[in-house]
Amino acid sequence: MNGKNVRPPARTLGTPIRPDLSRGSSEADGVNIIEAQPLPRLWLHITLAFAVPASDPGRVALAAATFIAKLHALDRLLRLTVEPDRCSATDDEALLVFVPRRWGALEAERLDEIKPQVRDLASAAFGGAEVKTVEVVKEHRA
Amino acid sequence: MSRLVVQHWIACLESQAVPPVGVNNLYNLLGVGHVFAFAADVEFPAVIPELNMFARFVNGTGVMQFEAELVWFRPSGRVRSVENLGFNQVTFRTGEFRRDVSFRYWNVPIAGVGEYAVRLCRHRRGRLRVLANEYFSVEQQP
Repeated sequence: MNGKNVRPPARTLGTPIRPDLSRGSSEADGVNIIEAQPLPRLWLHITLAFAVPASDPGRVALAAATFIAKLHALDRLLRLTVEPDRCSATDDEALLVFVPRRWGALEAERLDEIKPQVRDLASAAFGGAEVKTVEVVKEHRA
Repeated sequence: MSRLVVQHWIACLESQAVPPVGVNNLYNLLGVGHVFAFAADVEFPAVIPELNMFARFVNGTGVMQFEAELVWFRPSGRVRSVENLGFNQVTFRTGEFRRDVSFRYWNVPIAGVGEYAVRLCRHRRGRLRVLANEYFSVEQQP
């Protein structure tokens, strides 16, 4: 065989891993293995303040249903659903909590983008209420 | 234009990049399997302390964003997204037809016994496209 035609292997084997560099601590590991942190869960919190306690349960139910329907239509990809365990209400304040179907980087961007529209929707739906806050709450895994 | 393809998407307990650092590192994948067996005394939810996902990309260009999520297929048949494992960015070098990458995830939450999938998704034009699934099952030893 002509030595000039002998091609090196596509990949060289490299040097063996020293025991003190094994288990993810080698220079090559640091460069070629990508470590990822879990993304936090996302919640959309809407706080409503009522100057006068709502006296007509029918109107409140209708306003809530209208608001949720419009919120769904605002961004169908988010697939927001109510998280009843996290919602709360007192005489003069209510906290509505929605959760998207996924909680990734795209969902975080979308939630931030729709916040002003959510505020407008809530103001329109709950006529007698002041929308105190609309915020995206991030919760890291324990 | 060529489309990005994931040729391999393999779960293993440990991965090592073989030094020296280079564009064509070899990888050692240790503990490749499709069953994770937890000891009988483990109470769920539990964690897999370290999960490595080896990916071979074909036709990657530029900078691409990926997310990996863990999906639990409940015994009832309902699909439940358990965790967004993380957001990763991979830069493909010019003229690099294939690219190997290993992703490392720490403390992967396991809700219970059953079937799971690690789903690799790509961000594209504000949407997520599923590129690959790696399925495994979680069992508890008697």
